Amino acid sequence: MNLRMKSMVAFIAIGLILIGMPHPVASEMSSANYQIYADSVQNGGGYQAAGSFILQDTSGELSSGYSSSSIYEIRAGYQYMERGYLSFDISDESLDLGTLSTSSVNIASTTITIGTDSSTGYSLSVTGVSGSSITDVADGAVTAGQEEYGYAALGSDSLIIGDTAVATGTIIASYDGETNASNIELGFKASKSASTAVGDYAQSISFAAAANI
Amino acid sequence: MKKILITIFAAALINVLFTSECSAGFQVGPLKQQISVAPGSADQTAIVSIVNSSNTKRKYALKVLGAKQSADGAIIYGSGMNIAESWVVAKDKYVELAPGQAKEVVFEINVPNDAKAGSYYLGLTAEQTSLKSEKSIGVGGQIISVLVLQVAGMVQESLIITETTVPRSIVGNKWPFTFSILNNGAASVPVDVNISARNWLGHIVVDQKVISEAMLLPGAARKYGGEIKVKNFNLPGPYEFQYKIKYGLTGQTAVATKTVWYFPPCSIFLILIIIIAIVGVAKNQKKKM
Repeated sequence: MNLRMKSMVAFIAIGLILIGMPHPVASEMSSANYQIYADSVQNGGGYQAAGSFILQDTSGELSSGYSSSSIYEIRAGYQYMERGYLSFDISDESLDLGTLSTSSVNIASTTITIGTDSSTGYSLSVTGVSGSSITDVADGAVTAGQEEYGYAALGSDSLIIGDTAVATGTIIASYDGETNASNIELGFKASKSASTAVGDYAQSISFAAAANI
Repeated sequence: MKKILITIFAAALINVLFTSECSAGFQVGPLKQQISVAPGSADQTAIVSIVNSSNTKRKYALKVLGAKQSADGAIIYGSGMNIAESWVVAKDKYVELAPGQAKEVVFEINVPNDAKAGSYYLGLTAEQTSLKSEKSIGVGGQIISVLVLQVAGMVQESLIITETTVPRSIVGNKWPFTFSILNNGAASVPVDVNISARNWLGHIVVDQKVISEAMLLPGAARKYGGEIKVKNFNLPGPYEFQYKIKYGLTGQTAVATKTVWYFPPCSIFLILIIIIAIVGVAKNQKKKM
């Protein structure tokens, strides 16, 4: 083996040792004025941003990954630390109930999809209602020929039974764990009686998703 | 050949860029953050990241909501619920994001000098402003990033039991109960509840954890109910029914007791037999006289 070859082997060997070497000095730090959520000493990766894209990659961490049992959960390594996210999607933001009649119930539907990596899950609630509407449903079902307005929420996470009035503070759906896409189908319903006042009614409703505490 | 390949590649690229299905939603993080502040401090900020995952340019309104806990434990967000809502203000009222764009927004924290020490729960909210609609229902989406503001100072954990109910008498081995508790301290407290029953000889017949590590926010009142199962063949008579509530990081305890009369199903038959026997003996005595 000549000198050049030896140097190359030595260089590769040193490189491999450095890649595999554990660096256990890392922890969360904070003071009154700053907080470092997660830091990691390794031999590669970093923060890169370009336009709309952000990349935070790491390499060379020892024994990183996710493991759990019924009583513990370990998120080892920088990439496995949980800051968490919540995503919210509405299939249709503008619904039309049309012209009401005494012979049928008018229905307009939209689907809210929630995703989160929170281990405590999420809750979806009504946080704001404005505008005007006809009489709220009170008997659990919007019925043709009666002046009633409300909504039903369908989906495995739904907490709503039957038809209910649109009211601020109502918890519509909840789930106690991580979910990629929980679908909640909201069906808004309205019916009128012969004595319902003629007019245009319009309502704006805000739905909020938050991680469970 | 080269031209054909370039054309195919360009067509594929256009197809990916313009015809792929995009979500019409948005994403917010972190889910929760906890910031400790001193009364009078004005140099703290909370950062929230928003990602527009829809395929159109969208505008998001940035707001701060208060939070309170309902009797069933759910967290309800809204305006005018919490004094600390006015302490946190979004640096910008709105943020506009292109499709796929991510941005960090800043909420400034100004805690007044006279702020009481304790935990304050707030919702840092990004609200997707609705598209203009002339239809009857406009549906808007908000995502809340929870901010727990901890104002430094002396904090006392305090919890009281406001109500306990058990039936006066019970027949059978399922004993129903309800109780209500109120966190009247300034800090949120984890709560563990044990229910035990002791007979008139002092023997414990049941000792069961009914609530484990439930979180009770400051000012929150919660009501719990259920039933505990005791062993069959217990002695009839009065039992001391005890609620033992361990709460807070300081591990304090609140206790309430009630008395319940217990009659095992077999004792009812025994009492009936005794009554029938007494009546029979009395009738015999009457006949003899």
